[in-house]
Amino acid sequence: VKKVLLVAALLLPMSGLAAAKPGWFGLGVTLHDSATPEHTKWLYVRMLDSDGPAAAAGLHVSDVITAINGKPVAFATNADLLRYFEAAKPGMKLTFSVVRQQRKLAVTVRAVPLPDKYAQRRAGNRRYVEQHDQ
Amino acid sequence: MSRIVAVALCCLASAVHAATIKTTPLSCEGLVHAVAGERTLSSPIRGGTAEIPLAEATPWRITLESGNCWAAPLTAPSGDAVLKVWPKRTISGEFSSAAPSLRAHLGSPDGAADGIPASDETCRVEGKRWTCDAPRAALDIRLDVGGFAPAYFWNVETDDLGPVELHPGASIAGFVTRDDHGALKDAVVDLATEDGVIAHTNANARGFFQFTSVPARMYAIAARRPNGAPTHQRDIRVQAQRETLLRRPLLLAGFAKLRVTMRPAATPAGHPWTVALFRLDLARHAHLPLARSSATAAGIWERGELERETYHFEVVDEAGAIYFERDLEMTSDLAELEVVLSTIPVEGKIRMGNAPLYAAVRFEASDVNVMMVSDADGAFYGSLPHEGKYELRIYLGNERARQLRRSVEVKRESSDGPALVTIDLPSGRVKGVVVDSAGKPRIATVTAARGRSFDIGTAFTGEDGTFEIAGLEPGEITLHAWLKENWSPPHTVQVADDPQPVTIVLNDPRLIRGRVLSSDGGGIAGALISYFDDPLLKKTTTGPDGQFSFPLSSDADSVDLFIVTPGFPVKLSKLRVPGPGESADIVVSSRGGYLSVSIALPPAWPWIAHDGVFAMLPSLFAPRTALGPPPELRGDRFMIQVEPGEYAVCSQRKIDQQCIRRVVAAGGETYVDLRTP
Repeated sequence: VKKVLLVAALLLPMSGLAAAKPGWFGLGVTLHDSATPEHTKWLYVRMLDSDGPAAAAGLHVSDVITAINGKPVAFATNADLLRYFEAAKPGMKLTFSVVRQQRKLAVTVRAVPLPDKYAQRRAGNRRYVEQHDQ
Repeated sequence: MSRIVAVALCCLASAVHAATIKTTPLSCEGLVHAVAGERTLSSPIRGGTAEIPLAEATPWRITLESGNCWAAPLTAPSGDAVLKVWPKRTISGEFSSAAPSLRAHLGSPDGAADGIPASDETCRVEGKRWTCDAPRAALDIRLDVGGFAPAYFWNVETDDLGPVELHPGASIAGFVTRDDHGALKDAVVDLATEDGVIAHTNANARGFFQFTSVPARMYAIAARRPNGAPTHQRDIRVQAQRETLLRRPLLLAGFAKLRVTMRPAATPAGHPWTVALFRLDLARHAHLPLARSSATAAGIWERGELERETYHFEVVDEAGAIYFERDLEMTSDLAELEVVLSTIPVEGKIRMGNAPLYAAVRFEASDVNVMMVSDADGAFYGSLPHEGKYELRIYLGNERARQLRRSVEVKRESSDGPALVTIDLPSGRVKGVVVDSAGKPRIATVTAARGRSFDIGTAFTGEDGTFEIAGLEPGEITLHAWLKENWSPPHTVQVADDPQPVTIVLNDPRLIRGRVLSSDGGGIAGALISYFDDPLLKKTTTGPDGQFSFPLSSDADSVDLFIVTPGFPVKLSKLRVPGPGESADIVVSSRGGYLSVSIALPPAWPWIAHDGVFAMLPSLFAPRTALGPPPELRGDRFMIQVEPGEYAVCSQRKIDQQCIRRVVAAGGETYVDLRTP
């Protein structure tokens, strides 16, 4: 149950509530760490909104994201990850360095305004991540 | 000699029914031309009529040249003909870029009675500005611009279409319709290649959609309503610089309607029944809430606009107690059900030892879920839909929520009396404290198991780590303590009226590290690893080089796991737990075979076993985004690509005589049909 909730938390909050609508990429990722001295980190694409820009740009469920805009994934916590995507504005472009099985590729996704249906659930998602991100 | 009479019905746009010259209030000025081969005959219009003597019985193309009237060209045999005309207007607009040429295809909107016939107009273009002659009538317009995707306008009545965006390259267009010809609402159309969905759009109210500037290649298109079942067209070839218009519309099944009539019309307390409807998601093994509302005072509940799918519905009372539930396959326009909700009164007593107990008692059966609460004397009252065996969940009313599980037979002693239910809980107890590896008390959950009953009692520890589970039968039971994902090893203890406290230690989990590799030794990224950390199934994923790590609470020597990776066969394997500092490599075969299983509905998911590892069938589906049937469902069977080897398909998580054993060969398919006993 915990896993599913965490995914939902990260799917929705590519978001943020502000006077203008925040940006939204339509993907749900989980943060992973190699648990080795190198602490290699990656994002696993667990969910995609089929109507969202990430799916339209060609991201797949199961893709492994190793870098964003050329910078290796280095979020310390899920809350950091959440804040990063929450800060997105519509029109913002992110280029994800992706490993799909054994193939490397780059996928550029442009944020669109957060659909209203996801806006209401954002606060709950952040609360969940903050409570469990310890 | 025969003659052709071109009749000009100069009429208002709304007078399209005019059919004879005599009723026409207006006249057109100009010429009527009749063309056959290289011959052109012309005649001025006088009094709404033009007479052209024709010497040959051959099809003639009749056109109108007029400053105030418009007519679609007409091909007619010799003899009298009627050329319908409309007042003329000029439509115009401005392209986003200069256009080399323009033809406008004009048509009448759906539903317009006696509308204009479809016709093509050659239009005038000056740079970005364009103009076309057209009838003064509501129009559907397609602008064919050389080198660009056609631009579509629907039900146009204005003269100025304003800015028109031009999209270079190839395009795909088509229509979505409903098989019951009902109105479309929110239809979404996906454009996909073998790599998945690359674009999506919404069909308009007419059902029309268009994808522009698409590369020339093969495509598949799916249309669906939000959360609805999709319909597909595949193998659509798109050529460069051309529009591909789908010959057939994408046909969405019409909505269905469910009408449920409840008898009696009211709950035992006299309130209306509530009906809850869920979509049944086979892939996720989940019920997705769709609707929940009260029936009418007459006991009738209706819901329209349902996709023709499988649903689950429940009839509940005002307290949320479920009196009836079942799965329902919507296959027709209207499903009507009558649900007879027989209720029998229940009077009960609950005691522990010999003392009355304040508790909430939930009665559960396959189609029932009813809660009753006892008072300080341990007495409770309520109603149940039928006699028979019920599973009980008993929530004890103290500060540390605890629950026990029991079963009870509910039976009336007479046809007009209540069913008397007595729940006598024994006085047996277990108690103890939960600590971490440093000996510090921890807030945790403690569950009691006996035999195959995993959860006969549950309690939460306090801040001092102590717990107690009461109401247990004498004998030996197994306790687990757990906190988040960390489970203690099992503790076997004796139930007693005055038991010895047990100390349960939540060990620090071991960290298991390794890599998932393909047969050529390369790491596989994005593999989904499910592993059993007894008694739980947990998941992790591999990183960019195939690396993985996960915490393991169990102190076993091996861990059962299965790995699902798009593009690779599923692997079920028993992994020897590596020593401290060691890494475990798991190699996934590059070639598999299909294990195909047909199951009965409602889903009775079987267990798939291999190498001593069990996995429930849907847990082997590849991760995906879309709702609805998973890609593994092909026709009536679920096809899972697995590594070659021997597999068992079992109804329970154990190997027994009823398991069906099959060998899956590389490149082959092995089929198991579970629909018949």
